Amino acid sequence: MMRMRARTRLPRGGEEEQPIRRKEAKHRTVMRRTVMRGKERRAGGEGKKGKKDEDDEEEEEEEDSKDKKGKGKGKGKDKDNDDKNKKKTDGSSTNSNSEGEGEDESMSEGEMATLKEEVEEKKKLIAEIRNKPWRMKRRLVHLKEAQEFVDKFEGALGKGKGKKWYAYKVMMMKKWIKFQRDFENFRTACIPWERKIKEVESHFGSSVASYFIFLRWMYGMNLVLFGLTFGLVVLPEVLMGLPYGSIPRKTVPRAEQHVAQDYSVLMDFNGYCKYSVLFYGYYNSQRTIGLLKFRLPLSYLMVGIGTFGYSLMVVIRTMAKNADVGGGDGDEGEFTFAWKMFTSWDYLIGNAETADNKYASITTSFKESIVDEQENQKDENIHLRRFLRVLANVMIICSLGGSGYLIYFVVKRSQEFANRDDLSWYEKNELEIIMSLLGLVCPPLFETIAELENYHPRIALKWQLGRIFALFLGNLYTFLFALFDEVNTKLEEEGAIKNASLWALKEYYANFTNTYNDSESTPPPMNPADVIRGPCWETLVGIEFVKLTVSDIQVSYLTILIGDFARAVIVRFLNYCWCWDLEAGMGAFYAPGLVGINVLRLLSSMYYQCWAVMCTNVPHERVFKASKSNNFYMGLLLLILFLSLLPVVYTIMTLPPSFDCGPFSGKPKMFDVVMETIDLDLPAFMGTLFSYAANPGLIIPAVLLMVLAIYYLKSVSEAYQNANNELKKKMQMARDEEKNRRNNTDSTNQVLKDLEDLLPNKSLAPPPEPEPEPEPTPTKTKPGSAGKGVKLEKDVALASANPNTRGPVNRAPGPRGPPGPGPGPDRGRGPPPR
Amino acid sequence: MGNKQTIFTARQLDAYQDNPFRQRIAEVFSEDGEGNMTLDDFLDMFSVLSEMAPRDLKAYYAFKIYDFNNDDFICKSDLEKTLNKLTRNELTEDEVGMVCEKVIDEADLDNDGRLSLEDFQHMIVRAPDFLSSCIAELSLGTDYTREHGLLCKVQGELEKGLTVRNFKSDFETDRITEDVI
Repeated sequence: MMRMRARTRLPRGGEEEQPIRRKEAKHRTVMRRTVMRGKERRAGGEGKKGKKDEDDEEEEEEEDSKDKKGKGKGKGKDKDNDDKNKKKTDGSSTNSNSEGEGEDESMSEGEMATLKEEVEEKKKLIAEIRNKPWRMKRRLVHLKEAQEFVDKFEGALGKGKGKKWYAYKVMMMKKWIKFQRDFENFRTACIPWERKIKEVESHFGSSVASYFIFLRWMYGMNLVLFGLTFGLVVLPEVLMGLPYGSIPRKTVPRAEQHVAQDYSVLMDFNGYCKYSVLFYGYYNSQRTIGLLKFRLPLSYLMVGIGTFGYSLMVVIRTMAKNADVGGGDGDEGEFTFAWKMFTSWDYLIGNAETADNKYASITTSFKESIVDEQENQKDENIHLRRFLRVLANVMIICSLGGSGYLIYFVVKRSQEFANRDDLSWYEKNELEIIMSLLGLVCPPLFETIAELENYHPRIALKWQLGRIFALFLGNLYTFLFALFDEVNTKLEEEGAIKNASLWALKEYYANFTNTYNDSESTPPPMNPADVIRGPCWETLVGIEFVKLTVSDIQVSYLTILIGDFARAVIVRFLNYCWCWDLEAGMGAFYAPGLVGINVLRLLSSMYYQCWAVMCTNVPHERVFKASKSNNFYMGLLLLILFLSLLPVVYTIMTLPPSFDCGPFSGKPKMFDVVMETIDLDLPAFMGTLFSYAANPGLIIPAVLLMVLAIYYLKSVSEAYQNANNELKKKMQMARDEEKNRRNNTDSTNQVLKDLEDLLPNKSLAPPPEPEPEPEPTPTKTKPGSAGKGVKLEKDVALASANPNTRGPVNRAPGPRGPPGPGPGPDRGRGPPPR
Repeated sequence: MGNKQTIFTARQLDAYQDNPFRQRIAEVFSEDGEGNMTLDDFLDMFSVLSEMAPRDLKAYYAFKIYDFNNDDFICKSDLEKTLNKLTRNELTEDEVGMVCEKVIDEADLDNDGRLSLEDFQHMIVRAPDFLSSCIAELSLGTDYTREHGLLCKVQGELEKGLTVRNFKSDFETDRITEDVI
């Protein structure tokens, strides 16, 4: 390395190089002494060491390359000088060492290797130049040089046979990089709503914008789900399945046909809506449809499962990414004030009013922290606080229970209503209205009750969210239970109707044969509209969910429009996130159209809420981030997804599908379609394989193994956390010790200096000793060489009980020596009784 | 494009008049340290403040911004100035002093009573909000398509006294090299 540097001549162009060259001149002058023997220097280049027997051409080439390489090396050194973080490549030094000693052939090889490394270094520089804190001009100059160097020598490296291929490879690489960059640009330009979100960001700060970014992410996810459902379930049925009216399940029954087109009926999702691709009941249970032998029932089931799987996977991946970056809640206690000071200003604010609000909120936040800090010393009445918290929780549980009961009651009533015909609009939609109202009223109620608890705002927010979540979950599950009752009733009904319809079919055939007296010909099938239908419970469930979703949309839009803007908007931000996924998740299996409705909802909601936020013009002072970069919210979302998966899985596994509607009709259980596929479509050995895998004897050990793995990983992660905490503590202790040491040395520094100056023999004054010394020093008034000695002797004389004065023991006899054997009072002091 | 050196004063960065650190930002990124930026400095600034800049780079420049007296340390007076700018002098002397002491207590690792670059970086890379708050964006018209066009437009617009708002500036240095030089 040193020799390489010595060879660099650096005939670079540009005046900006001057300062850099000057910096390195010192190095070079030093190195020059060690410069090797070898050829004499040329005008533009350095001499090369070692013998050169080859042709002039090769010589020149290598000379040239050495020169450039030297230049590069100098640059490398420059880079090393400027960036402390870069590690030096030592390979080049070994190469250069072997270079001088090797033969001509190995010289060119070593040459090439060095050159290659040079080029790699340059490339690395180009890639990382963005990360360096340099001025633009300097960056550009370095970049230009590096690029020139790389361009010149990339081709040269591919000597001999591989040259063309190498050059080609390099060119393709460049093109590929360019293509990637263009694609990246295109992708960035394609991100929807970017401009709108930026506007909101500039007006309200990044917290509010983070909600919209989260919304956009959800929209993306829903779009994917919609694509899956639509492409794999709805489209095949529409394109390749039987058209409307051909089979009973796809036709409106004769009894309802006269009202099937009424607006009110359609709004209730009956009539033509009910017998359309929107709902489960429309799908035919034919095993394969169309030319492509598309297995629709199997695809229906798989898409349902895949939807959930995809959502879960995406959420978990986001959580893992956040945990990696160090997101989540972080360690709140560390660096509170420092973070407040350095990261509280939001650079995205571009609006004077928002900026004013931001200043106010920063001031308030600082004052709060100061007060908190001061109050930490105060003694709180813990018992009162605990009592209040317990009371608040009790009240909230009561209200949750109350809302659950209310929903149950309303669902029961709606079942009664279903039997009547003369219903007012309110009575028809009572269930949805009540549920939405509960969602509106309860959260503010929770917030007022939470005032009792007196938590830190962030913790209070988490409690609030948890409670809202519990509210929605409770409501939805109550709704489900009520629905379940209905489903069970319908199942019984179905049993009866099944018999009835079989009977009716037999009758129809009997009539036919009677009428036509021809037992040979097969009777034409009954008009689909006349067939007696079973109460397709899956479609009914789907209808309920779709109605709920739609009414939710309506209520939310109305409230945003009418309600108290600033507060409402913020509260709704936090509320409605959770609501969507619950309903959509559960209902999507029974109503494939629901995913489409959801996508539409998100789309319109984006625009609508953006507009509403901009119109309110009142940026909320204290807004907490409901973004996907916080693991708490992600965790809630995960929980919700999981909980909404449960009912669907339960119904798939236990309830028998309706006998005359849906893709699983006729089978005892819905997942039998999978069994069927395995039996019929897959090769035989896979069937046996699956049957082995489904053996409980295999599954139970597998489950046990997973439980053990979870336990092990959990304990490992706990161990790491403990180690982390220990290290932190150690660091803290080291800091404190350092602080103490410095403090002490500061205070005794002056004194020690003086003492050390006066004392000729420093070895007699051990460091720990001076510490008790400072007290007697003010009494020492005699200047002079014997100052310390006198003091010490004084100590010895005055306090024979003082065991600390080890030094004076040695010293005292000293002065006694020269005076000779003359006794004296001070000499008597000499030998202390030890 | 050549080396047309147009100097942009801080006044032209209209939309950032509310930013408490606007003067410091201009000083840190300008060539002469006075706040007058050339096009290169301007682009440099937005390159650092863009979303794609690495965390360490942002931390480095943030340190320089908060170091009011340019002594490569954030000492107590720097902290006091920062705090006063952030709160527009709303806090009392005692409160300011207390906060500054707490900050030094929390972040000073080598115990010299002031924050060096290492202390600052150690503290700031753990902050959850740092990356998201320390971002600024540059906006032009809606019709930039080509790289060359971007730079021409930037220069042209700035000469007209553009107000800077929101946009995504994802330029890269080697691209500029191809076009500018």
